[in-house]
Amino acid sequence: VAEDRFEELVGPYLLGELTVEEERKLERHLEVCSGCRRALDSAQPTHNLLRQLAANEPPAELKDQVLVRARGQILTQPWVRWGFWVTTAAALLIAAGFGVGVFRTITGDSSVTVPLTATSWLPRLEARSRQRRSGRTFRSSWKCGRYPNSRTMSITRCGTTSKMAAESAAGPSRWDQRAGRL
Amino acid sequence: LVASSRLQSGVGLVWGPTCIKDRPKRDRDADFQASSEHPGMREKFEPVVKSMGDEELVRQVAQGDGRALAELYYRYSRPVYATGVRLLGDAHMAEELVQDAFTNVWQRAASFDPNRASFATWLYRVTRNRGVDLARRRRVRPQSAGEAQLRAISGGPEPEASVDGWDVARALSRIPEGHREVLTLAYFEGLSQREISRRTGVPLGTIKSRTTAALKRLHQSLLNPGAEEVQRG
Repeated sequence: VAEDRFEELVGPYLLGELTVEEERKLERHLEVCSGCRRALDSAQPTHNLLRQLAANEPPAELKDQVLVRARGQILTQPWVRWGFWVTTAAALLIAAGFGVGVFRTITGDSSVTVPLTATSWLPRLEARSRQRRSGRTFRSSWKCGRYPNSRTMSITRCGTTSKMAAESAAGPSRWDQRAGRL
Repeated sequence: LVASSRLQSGVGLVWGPTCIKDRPKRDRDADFQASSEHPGMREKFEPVVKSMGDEELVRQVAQGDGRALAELYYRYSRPVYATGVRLLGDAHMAEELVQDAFTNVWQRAASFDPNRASFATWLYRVTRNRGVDLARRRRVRPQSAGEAQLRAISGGPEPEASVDGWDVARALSRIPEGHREVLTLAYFEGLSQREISRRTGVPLGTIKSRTTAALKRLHQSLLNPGAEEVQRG
């Protein structure tokens, strides 16, 4: 071992990694070289700290458990959680829209809007009657725009849509008369 | 910041009459493959992850990078586990604490603010709080979590007398990657100098001198802990 290389052997010396011959030469050198002795004294506590830290090694399999558990927790990250709820809400909205579409396809949209004409009873009438079928019952609502005190009338009557439209077009009916009293 | 820059840049590697030269960057970046003979050994990570500082690794974790979390685990699982054993007095509960702490790191990485504390300080707080919670849930009387209890390592008048595993782990994470590599392979994975040489492809003589230089560098890092840290505690 060259004289100027002794100090480089301090680390392996502490680790017990020198050959018997290298170790003997270094120890002999340490007796006469204060610089190398200081280097050894300085490295010794750090070596002890590393040894102590190494003694606290958790079980090897724990690492995989930690990583698997962490990845399983990915949904709890804020941005992921926010995205999750947005996606869920969008999916529910789409499902609801699809359900309504299916329902209307099955039941059919039977609503009919019939324009109402002004008569002598209601000369300023500008109104529409919207009639919706529910089984054999028609639900008819009138909206009279030109009469300030008018309100939506809701009249339930059995009959066909065409018959009601014909009644509206034929002239003042009892419905018109009723509306005129508003 | 000055101290940190000095440590990271490699200035101050000269120790005594011999100047230790770092091996080329491409050599230091060489990956190593986990071996079945060493179950605790690191997986094969991309060099960029191994060379990252703690704070950069946390940023990567916040973006969902599992490799960054694995690297942080490799660097800090020992002090977390040791703290768990001291606090809870039970190895199984300490393992549970390790899981809790690193799961917490994964979940809360986005909230970590490097301007307020180092990662080691942040993780220590997480570990302590989770440890106390765990003890309460299990109805275990927690041991004193005071600093004196956690810092009872290595007696004597040396600065290391007041140093604990957290300080060593943090100092290790701040020395150059080539130095950290040779120390972790030797001390944590129990490889001989010759095995390290084979593993890294670096000549045996260089490994020996680098081990000595790395010890010196770690000693310096322990003497100047967290000079760039704005707030601790």
